[in-house]
Amino acid sequence: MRWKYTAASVTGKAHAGRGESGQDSYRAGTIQISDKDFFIGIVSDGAGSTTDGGRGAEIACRTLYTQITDAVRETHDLSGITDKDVRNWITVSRDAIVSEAQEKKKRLREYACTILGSIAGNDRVIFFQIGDGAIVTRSGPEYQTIFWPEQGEYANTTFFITDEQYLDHLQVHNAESQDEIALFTDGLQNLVLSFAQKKAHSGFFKPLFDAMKRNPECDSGFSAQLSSFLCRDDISARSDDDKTLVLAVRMTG
Amino acid sequence: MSDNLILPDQQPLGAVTFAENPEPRCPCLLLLDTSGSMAGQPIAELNAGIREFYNELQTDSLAIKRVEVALLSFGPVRLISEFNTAECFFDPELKAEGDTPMGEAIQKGIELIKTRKEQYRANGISFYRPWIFLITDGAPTDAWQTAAAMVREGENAKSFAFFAIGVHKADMKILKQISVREPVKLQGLKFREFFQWLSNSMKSASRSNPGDRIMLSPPLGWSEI
Repeated sequence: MRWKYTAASVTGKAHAGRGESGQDSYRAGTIQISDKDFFIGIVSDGAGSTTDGGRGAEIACRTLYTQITDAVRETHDLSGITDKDVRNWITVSRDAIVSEAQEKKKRLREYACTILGSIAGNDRVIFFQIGDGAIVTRSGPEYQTIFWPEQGEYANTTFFITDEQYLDHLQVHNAESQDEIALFTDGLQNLVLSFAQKKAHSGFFKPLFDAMKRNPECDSGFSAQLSSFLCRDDISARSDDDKTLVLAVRMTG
Repeated sequence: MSDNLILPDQQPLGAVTFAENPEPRCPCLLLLDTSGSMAGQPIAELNAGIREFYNELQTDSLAIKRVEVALLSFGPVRLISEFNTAECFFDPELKAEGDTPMGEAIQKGIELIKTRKEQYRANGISFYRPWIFLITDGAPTDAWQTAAAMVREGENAKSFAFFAIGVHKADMKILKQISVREPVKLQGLKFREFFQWLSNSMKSASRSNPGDRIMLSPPLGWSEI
């Protein structure tokens, strides 16, 4: 059993049109420890109208990724990782954002960003999330979200790791093994989730995962094509926000 | 690079389909003073401004699907148009008559917003914070204190944003007591300029993404500042 993954992140027209860079960030990778293979994926969306949301997202992804790889290397196993560990990682990452904000004499809210994370081994997967965007996994022929994107009352509000009550909006889920995992920011959610049915749209995920499985190595060429796919006109016509998509599949043999 | 990549330009991913979701809605309620004093040119300019407002929204591919406008006139209080997207525009042809039951109009308007939100929620439609614009050239002829308390309460709870526009001899002192946000005085009868500004503001609000703060551009070109 081993994991392979691919990822792409594109700047939406809303930012590109104002000459701004994207505010999404991600870290993804696999680690092998003796005969075990782990996939770690972190995705973060810096809030739209902040000055440093993109920087917040970058710090969050980097610090979470480092802490998680350290923990996995230490435990060699996901069964010992608890919700409390996840809360600690989140708090440490938030502290890293707080100290940069203080150093730069900026308000913490300017670094607002969401968090989506998954740590997958061969027999267990841990998921966590603050705010919107979603993590989708396959369940039989269907695809389902782990957590439904958490929005505030209005279409342009959500929750962030920089919020005062950030732990209240942290959701953690510990699941049996999974074969297919997708993490994506809110720029994609209206295209790939059905809000009336509260379901993931299989017509989007299945072809992508099938393509990944057919492709022996998901190399940089693959992710470059995923990027151009995310820039396709029929996608950008329906969402002008930044879009980040991380996909992982578990291969047998 | 391996050459059996299967993504975009090649056919295989043409099979990707997308979920169909209702557009998020951006509700805007106009509370319009149609009391006797608005007779003549003021009401004619107001009607023209509203027509232009709809025309503007109709030219924008996102706004036409997302912005929902409701019209409530007072003098007497009358629901001219329920919340509808700009696709369903009809010409209101407001007439000036009656007195100025502003308090009743505000209360009814806030009820209207509440009902609309319940409908959105029941149908899984996401929405932006509703905007209420009160436009008046006079002073309330009914009790307005309850209405003012409801506006304060709604603003505090972020249930809506309430803006008051005073025309000509409008009682700006009372408007200040009703609206938490500073009321703005319309320059002459520049309704068209006001509605131009409003449609631009609605266009940008209706395409804002999570985390965006909606910034209103300054009321230039139509207000006395």
